[in-house]
Amino acid sequence: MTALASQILQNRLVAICREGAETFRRMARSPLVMQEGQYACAVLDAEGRLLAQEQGEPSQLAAVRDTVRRLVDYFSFNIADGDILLVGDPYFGGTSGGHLTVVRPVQAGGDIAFFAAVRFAAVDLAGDVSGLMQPGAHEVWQESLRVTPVKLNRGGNPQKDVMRYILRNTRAPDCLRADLAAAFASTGRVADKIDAIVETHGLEALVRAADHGIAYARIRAAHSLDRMAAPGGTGRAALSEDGFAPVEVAVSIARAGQTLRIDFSGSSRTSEGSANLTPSATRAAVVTQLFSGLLEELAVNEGLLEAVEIVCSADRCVNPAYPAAVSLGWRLVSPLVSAALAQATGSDAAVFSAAAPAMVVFEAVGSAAQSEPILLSPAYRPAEGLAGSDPLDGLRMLPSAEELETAGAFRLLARQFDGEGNILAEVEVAREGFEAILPPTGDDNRPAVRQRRPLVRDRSNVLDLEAGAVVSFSYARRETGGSHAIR
Amino acid sequence: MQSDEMIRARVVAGAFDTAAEEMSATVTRTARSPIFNEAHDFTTGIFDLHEGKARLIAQAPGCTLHLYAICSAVQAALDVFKNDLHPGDIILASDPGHGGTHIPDHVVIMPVFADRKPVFFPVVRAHFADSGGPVAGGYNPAARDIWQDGVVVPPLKLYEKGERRTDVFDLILANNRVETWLKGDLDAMRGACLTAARGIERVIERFGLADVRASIGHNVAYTERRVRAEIGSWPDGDYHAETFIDHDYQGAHDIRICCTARVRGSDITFDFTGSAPQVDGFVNSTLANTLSFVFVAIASCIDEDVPINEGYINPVRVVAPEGTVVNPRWPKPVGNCTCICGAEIAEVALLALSQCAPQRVGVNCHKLPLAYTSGRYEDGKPWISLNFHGYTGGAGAAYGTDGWGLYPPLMTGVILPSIEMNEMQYPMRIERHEYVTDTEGAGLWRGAPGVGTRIRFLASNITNAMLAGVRHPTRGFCGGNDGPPNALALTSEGVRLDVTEVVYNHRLARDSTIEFLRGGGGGWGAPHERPPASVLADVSNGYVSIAAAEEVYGVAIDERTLTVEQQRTTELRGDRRPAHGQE
Repeated sequence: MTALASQILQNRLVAICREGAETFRRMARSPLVMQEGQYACAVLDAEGRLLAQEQGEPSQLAAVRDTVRRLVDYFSFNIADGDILLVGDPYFGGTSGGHLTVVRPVQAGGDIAFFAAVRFAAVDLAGDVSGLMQPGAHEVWQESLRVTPVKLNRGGNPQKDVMRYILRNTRAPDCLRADLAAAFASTGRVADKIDAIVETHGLEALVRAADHGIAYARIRAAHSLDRMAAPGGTGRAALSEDGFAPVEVAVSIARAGQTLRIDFSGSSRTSEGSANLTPSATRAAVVTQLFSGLLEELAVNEGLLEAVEIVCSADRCVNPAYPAAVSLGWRLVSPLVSAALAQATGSDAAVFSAAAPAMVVFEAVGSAAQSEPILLSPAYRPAEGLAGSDPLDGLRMLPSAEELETAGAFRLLARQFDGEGNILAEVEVAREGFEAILPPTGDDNRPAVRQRRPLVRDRSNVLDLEAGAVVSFSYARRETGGSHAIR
Repeated sequence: MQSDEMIRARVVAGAFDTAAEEMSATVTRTARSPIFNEAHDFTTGIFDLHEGKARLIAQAPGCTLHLYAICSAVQAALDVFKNDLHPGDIILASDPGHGGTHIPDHVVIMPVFADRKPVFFPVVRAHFADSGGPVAGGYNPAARDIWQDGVVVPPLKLYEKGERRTDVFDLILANNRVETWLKGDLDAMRGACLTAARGIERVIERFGLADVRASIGHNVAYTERRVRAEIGSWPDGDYHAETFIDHDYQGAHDIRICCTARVRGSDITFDFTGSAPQVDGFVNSTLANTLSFVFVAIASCIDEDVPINEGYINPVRVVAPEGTVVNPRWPKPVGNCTCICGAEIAEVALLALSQCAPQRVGVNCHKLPLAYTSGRYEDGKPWISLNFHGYTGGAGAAYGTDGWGLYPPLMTGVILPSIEMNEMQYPMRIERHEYVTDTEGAGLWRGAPGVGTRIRFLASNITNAMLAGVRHPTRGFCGGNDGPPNALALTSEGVRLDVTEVVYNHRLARDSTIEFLRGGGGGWGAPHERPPASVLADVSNGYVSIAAAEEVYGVAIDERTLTVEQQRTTELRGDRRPAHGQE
């Protein structure tokens, strides 16, 4: 096979992932998928090597690979055609609770040769507070149902009791059922496309093309590291928001052959709260920071993910000790990883900045049999030279005023630049019956709420919103050193 | 019935009872959690399929409050798998929305086949030490929906055709803080079912399925006849009573539970219409739990030799309007329902029955001062203690008997863990566990005195404490006094916190203590009818003070000689005539 033919086949794999991701995004029901871009679609080989991936935002970068690799190990010798596997556990290759990965084995040459995978954020998977962010949690069980590897289909037979168990432990069962169905369909479509390639070009050609793609990414990543890495560099970054025990990311870097060795061992210990980043999320933050320039032009695959060697002793905020809570890790700790690495590599800017202000709004706890929490963040942090949102947001879409107001829950009162490059937005709560939380941002920039009655009810860990409450969001302009939009 | 049929029916009943008791022994001897092997917070039973429905045919003595709940849970599980049952299947379930009570109480069910059909179902219902969710131990006083109570387990096969579904098993374990305990407990529950299956197969082999079924029919009919005979002895009428839950831990107070017992011949209906609407906090009772506590109430009114099976339930009907605290809509939280408002449901049912069957009611008491503690051993492994010693005591009196020690009948079968074992298993010392003077509900027959308990912790921990039975303590019957209120205090680093209602996820330092006062049981009949000699014995035993003997019972006792002063006692009691024929 010529290099050109190999390149074409490699691009076919990438295109399949894009189609799978787009199929999923268009069919899914969860606003976290449709608007926030919290999904990914990937093709992996039988050993769990990532061959190609398309994702909506960067936290997904390494999690599909890490999850599937663990899954293959867990179900070793017990995966068959017709199986559909599900996993969603921060301590099983994931990032945080409620992020589910649906995996479909693809047979070729009489054996399992590939896996098609879709990963996405469910709107809710039980836990203390509606939604996936749990500011008060200190252990993983408080955050969501842990979905350790489980078969949803076995040899083509739906495992209805398992599906019932999953759907019984969410506040939004209809939404999750639809999202899982979309993931089934998308992985099925990816599997069909792979079958077609194998039939046309043969398994060997496809494997060789994938190997070429991985090697190429590795070479490009190495070149990129050659240009940027300052051997022996160190960096530190700490949370500045009040109310958190010290969370500090410390990093030192060193070249090790063609790879960059990144050591996080000096970071603070596992946070008592939920500001912890799982190893998979840490790798995603590292890869995004180091290769932001490549991510736009290069397919995400094993070559890119393995271009760096990450070292971290146990029980750190970037490698937390089980069963620590992790739901705010990506929001609070990934910017620290980004900043510390920027320092260590002598980069002109961190790719991630502090998280944008947001409010999670939901029907009053216990008031409805089904309740889909809404992640309310009506704008984005603007950046000089960038027309779109923060790279941390990936493919997140700015909600239109019409979308915000359609359900009759909110009114968008204002959304505009303030003359200094910042965006200010105000949203009015249109009816009674809502409660909310304000997830921390890392820089004390939570939204402000104005209303007549007390905002916090006695004995409650959530806000009690009234009709007419006005929520103000301030999106400070961020300084960049030439960031790229990142997926 | 022919005499040989009658004999065979008794032999078959005995065989099934034995099988259920073997299950119980198996769980006790093989489970890992102290809640199973020390406290025995579980029940075992055997069901058959009768006219397409699960029917309780035998039950081992166990935790009484599981009694009826086990029936609805089994039925819900069989509804799910009715066309998908195979030899070797093991089903696990704990779903408050489908036949369950509160989430920690899980059932394990196994079909036993004969003639290639599932005909019998050994079942274990047990309280798991943890059930995931926001609070270790499964009682979250901050819960306002079911997912804040814990992880719901709709009927799920743990084993299929004899083979463990490893992925499903691991999924269940992963959502539990004490997975090593749970793994052992699930194995113990399955082992119990396998033990019962062998016993059942022996019975079928010996008598044949048709005769076994006929015998079961006779046994169920016998129980029903006995229960109907008792109910039939009560005068027809509508008997109304009400009681109140102290609070729901979310701001609601004095939550009304009312009940009308309608006796018509040998049938009885308990109608809870008029009870308060469902509340935000976790004291709502699922319908299965409401049925269970009604059953507990009525079971305490029936002769103890009546075999427990479906015949017990057949004459009883319960009306619990949907959307009320005794039958809430999904997803209202129910985590505390096996204590509150189960206690009030049994209490109000007994108060209603006290009007038609006064000599049958009593021994009421299940309003507990709860405190659950969790922490980690030195090796990092988690522990969860339900602090059972703090809940002991408090049985009420009944006609003809004072309240007795340890647990009241609502928790019969739950065994008080030994203090030595407790101190080995948990980083704690039980420094005090004793009766407290003047904490009984006085009466012709008095309630058991209250129990004071102090537990000292040798390691830091997190404790959730929930107080009940203070604004509305345990009621007495037929003129007997109510029991005194419970009390609960946490002391950590020299600071004492008297719990007034609830303490949520409270950090206790090493060397901290929890002090419980479990108020005594209510009395039966007027205190001034209690024989002076009995009052004197109470004083001698330290249950009642000399001052209270005089003030409450009207019995004067000479402090120096510890004898009854007859003259003064006569003066104190005056011309109050005994209402219940005792002097």
